Amino acid sequence: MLVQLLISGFLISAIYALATTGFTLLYGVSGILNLAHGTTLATAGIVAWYVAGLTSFGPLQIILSGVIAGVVVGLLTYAVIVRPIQRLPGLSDADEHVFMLVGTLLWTIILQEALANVFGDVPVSVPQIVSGVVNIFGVRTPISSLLVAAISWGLLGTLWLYVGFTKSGRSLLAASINPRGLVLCGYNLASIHRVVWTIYGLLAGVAGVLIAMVHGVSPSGGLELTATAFSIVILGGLGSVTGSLIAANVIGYIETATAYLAGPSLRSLPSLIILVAVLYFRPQGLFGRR
Amino acid sequence: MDHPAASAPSALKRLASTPHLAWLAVPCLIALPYLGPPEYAIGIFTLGLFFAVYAMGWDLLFGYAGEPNFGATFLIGVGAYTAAMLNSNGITPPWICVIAGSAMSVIAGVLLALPALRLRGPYFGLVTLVAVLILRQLIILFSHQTGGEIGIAVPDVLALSTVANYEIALACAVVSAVMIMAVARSPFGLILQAIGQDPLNAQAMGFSVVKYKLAAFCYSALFSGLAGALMTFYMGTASLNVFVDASVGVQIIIAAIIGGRRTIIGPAIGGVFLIVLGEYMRPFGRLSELVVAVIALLVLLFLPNGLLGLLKLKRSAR
Repeated sequence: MLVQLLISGFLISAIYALATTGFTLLYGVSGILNLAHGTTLATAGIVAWYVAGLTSFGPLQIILSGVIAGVVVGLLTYAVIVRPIQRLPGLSDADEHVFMLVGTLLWTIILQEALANVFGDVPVSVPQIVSGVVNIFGVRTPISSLLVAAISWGLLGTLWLYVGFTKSGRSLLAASINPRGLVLCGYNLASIHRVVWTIYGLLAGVAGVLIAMVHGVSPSGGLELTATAFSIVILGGLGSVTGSLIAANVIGYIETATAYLAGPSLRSLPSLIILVAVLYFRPQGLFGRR
Repeated sequence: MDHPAASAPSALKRLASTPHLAWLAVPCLIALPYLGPPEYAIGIFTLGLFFAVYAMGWDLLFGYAGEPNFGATFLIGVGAYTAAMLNSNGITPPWICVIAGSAMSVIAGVLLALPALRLRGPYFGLVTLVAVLILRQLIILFSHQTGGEIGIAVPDVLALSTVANYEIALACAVVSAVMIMAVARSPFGLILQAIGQDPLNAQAMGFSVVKYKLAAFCYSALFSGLAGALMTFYMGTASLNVFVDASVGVQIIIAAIIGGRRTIIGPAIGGVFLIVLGEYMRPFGRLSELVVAVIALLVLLFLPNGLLGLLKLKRSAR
């Protein structure tokens, strides 16, 4: 029982970590809470499902199609919602925040309804990468789920290398710390934003396909994914990638434990309560900056 | 807190200075159902009027106090479910349930606002959003008492005829509009605006930010709960997807922004407009929500001050 809990907690946490990293990166670098995040994930998953059903592509091409969908949606969000709102004249900071939240929420509805109209509002899932199970300490675990966790952590490792050790990655880090200084050093902030949104789309694309593989996604399930991503990011601290990785594991294990011990229908209640407690006692989260 | 009471007459005077044309709309609205529109249309307008009250309550909080409340349906839902649960348990006169519903909504407002007001801006919005999700979970958890996801039936009605229900909704909307506007234009409203625009300065001048915001929150909750409870009796049921839904809360925000923030009347117009538009688009099925969202997005991007802001802009250009 305990081993089972640990293993499924580990698997779900890996996906959560990948799914929230893009979201928190986006907030850290450009200060935008993208409420269409869950729907972006769902879009990637649904497109991958559609491609998988239509063709006889292997898993790699299917994931690639989802990633392309994620990047397209990410860049569209930037071009259609974020950029125009930032350019509106005469908005105060508070106004701009609310406009951004409402704008991305409207974008969620638009994406969700467009998906539901084209593909139907039913949960779909992407076929597993490989079939078969392995026995880990007496728990039968699908190999595919282990691969999913490996892909998640591998991608996160790559991201870490990119941000820490490449020139363009470091400029992203600089943008999150002091955008004005970066501009003074001769960097083009607009192109950095485009890079961030591309990386965001990439991460969301992979995460969306993996979620569709393990859980299944539906057009109207996007908002729920956003809510989960939110609780994780708030717990870890807005804009802190390390924090959200740790928080993803905390929430992942707690949700799994709740589902096993108290019943699957209560799955998301503890994370909501944690969210409120964190906002109340430590609004900046575990690792956030004020 | 003494300011609004002491200056009520002057607030009324300021109300009277509103363009007379706007007040002419009230008798027109009262007479509307007698001009012979189909009953169905009256029913839609009734819903629109309740929605108008929600949007006005939201505008008092955002437009004046500067707090984005993403959980308007938390307050509405508490009012609606309190009224419905009381009535289905045999508390008969519906108006008692309505009063209890609005009172409960104010209490819930205090419970939500006290912790939430420690936070600013987006964090405040988040807590209010989460409050809706938690209330939803609680209602599902205690489904024996609350009806869970199916909803709870209300045995009594306030009035049988469509026209009478319309007039009740209209009365609720007009009273709310007058009361909210009176507060918004009173010294209390001015202080709220000052707090919303520059909390630090307002505090330095000796105004307790939390106290004023809390008062605004309660005031907003009172009308949201009232309209929620009345709407439960009109609809005959209280269900999750109508009263306790984050996306309904978003619709309220959209209504307020379409109508024009910081105008109170603008959001009311936006609320009715959004409901009527949604109904008009209903034959298109799921596509209707898409179209409504696109229209709202276009207004957000190209008319950030809303429909009423457009009028004001024209007037000042003249």
